[in-house]
Amino acid sequence: MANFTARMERIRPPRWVHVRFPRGAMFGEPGNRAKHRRVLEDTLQAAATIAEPGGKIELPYRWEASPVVFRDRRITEGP
Amino acid sequence: MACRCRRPRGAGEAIIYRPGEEIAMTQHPMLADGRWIAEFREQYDAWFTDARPLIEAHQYPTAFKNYPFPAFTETPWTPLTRSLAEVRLGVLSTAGLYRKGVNAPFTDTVEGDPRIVEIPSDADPVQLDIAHSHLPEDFIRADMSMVLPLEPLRALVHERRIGEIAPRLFSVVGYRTRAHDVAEQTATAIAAAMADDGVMLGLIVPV
Repeated sequence: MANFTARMERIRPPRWVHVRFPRGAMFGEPGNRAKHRRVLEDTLQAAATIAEPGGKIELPYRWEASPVVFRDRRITEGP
Repeated sequence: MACRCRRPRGAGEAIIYRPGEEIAMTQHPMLADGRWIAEFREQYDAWFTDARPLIEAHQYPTAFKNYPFPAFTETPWTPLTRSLAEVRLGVLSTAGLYRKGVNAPFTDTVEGDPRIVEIPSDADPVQLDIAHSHLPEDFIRADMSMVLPLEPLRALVHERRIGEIAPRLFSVVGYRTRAHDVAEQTATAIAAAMADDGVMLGLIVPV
């Protein structure tokens, strides 16, 4: 799984899911266990679904909390 | 998710682990395409000479503007031949997680701390802490499940959605400039450990 499409295209992983979450929160907002579980389960399901090398699945979830502040930037999803 | 699910060394070659501590960085054969390494190694030293003072000054965009990113020519692939309900899942986090009172925190170095810390899969989440200066540590510390969702993992096993979790999970710091060392030492050591643990599917959780 990753939130950085350009980097993953360079790395060429066997299979991956794209999550649109900010740095440091790959499974969603703090305290949102239900979302953490859905992201985890969808990610693992992707491993069973993707049948071609380099296959990618875009997860539909979005960040639903205040932006993450890091190095003077306010982040709501990956680059 | 990149588990090659093969034993990456010859039969009879033992690897010594310190349970609950770290994996020794002994050399294991690399299965992935390593043709980029020679060129990378040549370019790395020149890049690092210029980049080091910039990194030390925390000028990361400038420091990494000319980083010699490896150019991979192959996409590795191992089919998943079992259902999720049958697999033993391995997990690698790059968040710099460690167990308080058990592991030393990762150190903040210019080229990145190369250690590999193992975390028992039955670890209490409150034991975990983070040492990764390139991440919003305090934000993550508020809920480690954002980077390592142990409770949801265990729930999926309990509900038989996945077979089981490998006995140990692995933690590294994702900030590493020496990509050749990551490929030749870190990745191979983790792959060997996961193979020893019978991992069938590996989940890499970067941050």
